[in-house]
Amino acid sequence: MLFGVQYWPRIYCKLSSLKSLLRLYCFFLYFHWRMKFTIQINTGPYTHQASDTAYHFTRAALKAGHTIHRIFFYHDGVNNSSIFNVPPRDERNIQQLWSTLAEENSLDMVVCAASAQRRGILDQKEADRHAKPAANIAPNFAISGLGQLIEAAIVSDRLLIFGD
Amino acid sequence: MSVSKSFVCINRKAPYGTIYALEALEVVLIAGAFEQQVKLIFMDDGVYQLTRNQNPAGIGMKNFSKTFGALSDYDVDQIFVDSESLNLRGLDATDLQRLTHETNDAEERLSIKVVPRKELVDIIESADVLFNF
Repeated sequence: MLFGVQYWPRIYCKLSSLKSLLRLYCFFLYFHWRMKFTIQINTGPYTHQASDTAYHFTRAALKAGHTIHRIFFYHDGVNNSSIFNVPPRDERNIQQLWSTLAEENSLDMVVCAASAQRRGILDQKEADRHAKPAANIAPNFAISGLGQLIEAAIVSDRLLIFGD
Repeated sequence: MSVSKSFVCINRKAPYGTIYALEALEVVLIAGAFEQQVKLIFMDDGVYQLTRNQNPAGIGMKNFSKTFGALSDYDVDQIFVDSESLNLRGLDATDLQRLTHETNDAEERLSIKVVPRKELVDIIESADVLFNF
């Protein structure tokens, strides 16, 4: 006789209830453990992969059911929002990817005002105010202040920073 | 906004040469305006940001180091400087600006603390939101 064989059914019972508890817990996590993320992007398109990585992260997070509270473009990251970028046809257009993603998921995409003005990212109002020939901010991007970043950091579970 | 989180901003870059030092100060001032608990850490070349008598006119830059004096108005009064970074650069506390803040009973206190690197670990670990400039 194997040692303790008479206890096997009881052990099995215990194990199976543990298993079902674990399954319940996983079920709970899967349906209830949702995070609220804010994404900060510090580098421009094409030179570094940071903006692409942030884009893929955002898509994956949304697909997994998480919330994206805001996407904040800071420093050279504001260049992601220029509609004047014309990459070769067979390459990804990072600005278009962001605009489309925002359109489909009603994302709040904010471009830092001070960073944008330094780098020539203007909406129509700013272009008129500074007598510039055109506005160049792409659809679904909005120019706003750093307060939007701080507010997002306060209300989000995690702030993720991509780029330098 | 009633929520108050612990913000820690690590400054590692020299004051000129990149825009990061200037932007870090902007972020910190705004976090202060949102009434968050803000702590600042200066390490590596970041310790140069706090040095006295900066004069960047020769490279056509604006001297923004006086803005550090405004931090106490935003209740940002916990500034930690890594002692190892200072030593490596031949600096000590006397080379840094004298930043002060007032306590509740109107006592003047120094805002800058030079601490060993080990102590920075706890400060970083206590952060809800961490900015690394």
